[in-house]
Amino acid sequence: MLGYLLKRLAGMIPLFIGIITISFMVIHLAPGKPTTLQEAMNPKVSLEARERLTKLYGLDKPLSIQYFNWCKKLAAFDFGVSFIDSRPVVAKIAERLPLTVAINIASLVLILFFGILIGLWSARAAGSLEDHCITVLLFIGFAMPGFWLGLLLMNVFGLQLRWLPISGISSLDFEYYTFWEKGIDLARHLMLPLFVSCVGGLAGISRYMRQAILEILKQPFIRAAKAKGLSFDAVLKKHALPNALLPVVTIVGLSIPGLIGGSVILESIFALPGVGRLFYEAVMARDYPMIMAELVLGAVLTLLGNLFADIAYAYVDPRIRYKK
Amino acid sequence: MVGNNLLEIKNLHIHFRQQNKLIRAVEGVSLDIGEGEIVGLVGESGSGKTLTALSITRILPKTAEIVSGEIIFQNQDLLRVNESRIEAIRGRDISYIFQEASASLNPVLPIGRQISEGIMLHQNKTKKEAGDLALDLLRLVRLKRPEDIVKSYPHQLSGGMNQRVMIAIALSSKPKLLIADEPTTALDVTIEKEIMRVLLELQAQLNYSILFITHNVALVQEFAHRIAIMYKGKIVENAERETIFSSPLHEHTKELISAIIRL
Repeated sequence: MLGYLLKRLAGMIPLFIGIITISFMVIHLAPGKPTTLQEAMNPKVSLEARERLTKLYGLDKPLSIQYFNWCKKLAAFDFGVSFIDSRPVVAKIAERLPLTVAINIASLVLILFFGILIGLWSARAAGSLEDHCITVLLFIGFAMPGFWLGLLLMNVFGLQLRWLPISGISSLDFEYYTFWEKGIDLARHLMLPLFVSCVGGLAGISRYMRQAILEILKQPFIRAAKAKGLSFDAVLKKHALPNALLPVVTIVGLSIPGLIGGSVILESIFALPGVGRLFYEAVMARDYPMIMAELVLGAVLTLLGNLFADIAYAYVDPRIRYKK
Repeated sequence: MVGNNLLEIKNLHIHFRQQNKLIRAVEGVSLDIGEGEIVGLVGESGSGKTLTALSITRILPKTAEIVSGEIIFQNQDLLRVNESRIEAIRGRDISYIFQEASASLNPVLPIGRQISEGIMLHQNKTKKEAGDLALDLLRLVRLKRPEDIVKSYPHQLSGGMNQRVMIAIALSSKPKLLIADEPTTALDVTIEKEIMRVLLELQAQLNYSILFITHNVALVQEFAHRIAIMYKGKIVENAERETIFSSPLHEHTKELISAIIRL
């Protein structure tokens, strides 16, 4: 097991280097410079000042040297400082992380719970009108762009009905609330973003579950379970479901990078101070250290997520667990 | 020790829908099975013998439909009793073993749980009692180290061992009828012999009836009391074992018997 783990980790190194190299190149290929923002805001910036800025950021050197320098710092876990406010990149990410992680874990849990339930339900009713209705609703949810649904809900629940706040994470007088009021205030603010982030993900997991269950229902052991005298619902719950749930572990593993990455669009629409919005702002300002730090984070999490998915799958599936 | 009729299949018709084509898979099958009797149902693949067997407790695939007929068991027509009644009969009074034993066991559940499941369902036992019974059943089908087997998964056992587990499950609630659908077809000849020995010795001990389905008439030649030959959805001949072999009437029966001699 340990040997396998080490082998897998070693195999990730070239992949990781490849990912960050390509990311670095692509980011620097994009038009615009970090200095553009500062220059554009002040038309009186002299050529001299412009050069000084460029030099300060190390952008006057050839790209290969810049890349080499960045790698050297990365090896020492030094992600540098943000071009925007000169604060350490790591600190900026760390303060945004809890919110993003909380939102994404909550939405993953909700998606899994309802997705598995809906999948089971539609597999049970496969081919009926009920099943078709569920399918249509799911596809509407899937096809609907998140930002559009978000704006629509903000308009209806926030502006017209005035039931829910439309942006941010807490109210202005949050500081003066009691503990319970704070909780309710947070929940009210997160309700719409969570709903929007679940709607799109629900279709995938529930369709997946439905298909997996229908496939498993064709297996001989299902007939044998029925021959024992189990009712259809018991067969579904005790025999089909455990088999269908195995691959869900893989899905959870693969969604780990998304937990940290956050949704750029969602966080921007609802003005949530999460990592996704931080990334959006960094891209807009060509804040290279910030962008690269987030990309490295994403790459590491993707690779580890894959590894986790494989190991977890092996653990939950007895056919793999006991193979020597 | 053949007693009164335990099960009577009367004029059974089963249709099969395949790509909008109607296939008359079983056409007017009638068959009686006596108490403690071993009936061999022999036919080539596609002759409708498995569908006949599955229809007895209504576990046919969705595409198959029982069009008409009666299946009388304990004074009731199994084709017309409600779903919960037939569920109580399945696995308790009438149980099955299938061709692919390893595929007939759930790959992600330990063997012990798969045995005790049926016991808990039909016999109102606690988990602990059912677990102990599972061990007894594994000893009954002569599996060594039952304590280890209950903890293992189907893929860790051989095909022959899995079939013994299936027999243990099938016998767990002391059924009156065991339907064995080609139980040894997927096994080696030596393993086949062992499984047959277990099946028949336990039959002598517990006196359940067996409906033994096979394409191999040589297999049932040694132990079946009666043999029914099925061909293209119909039973073409149904007689005592000796009669079938000494004076076969139907062309297809003669073909099946001559196939043994050629081997």
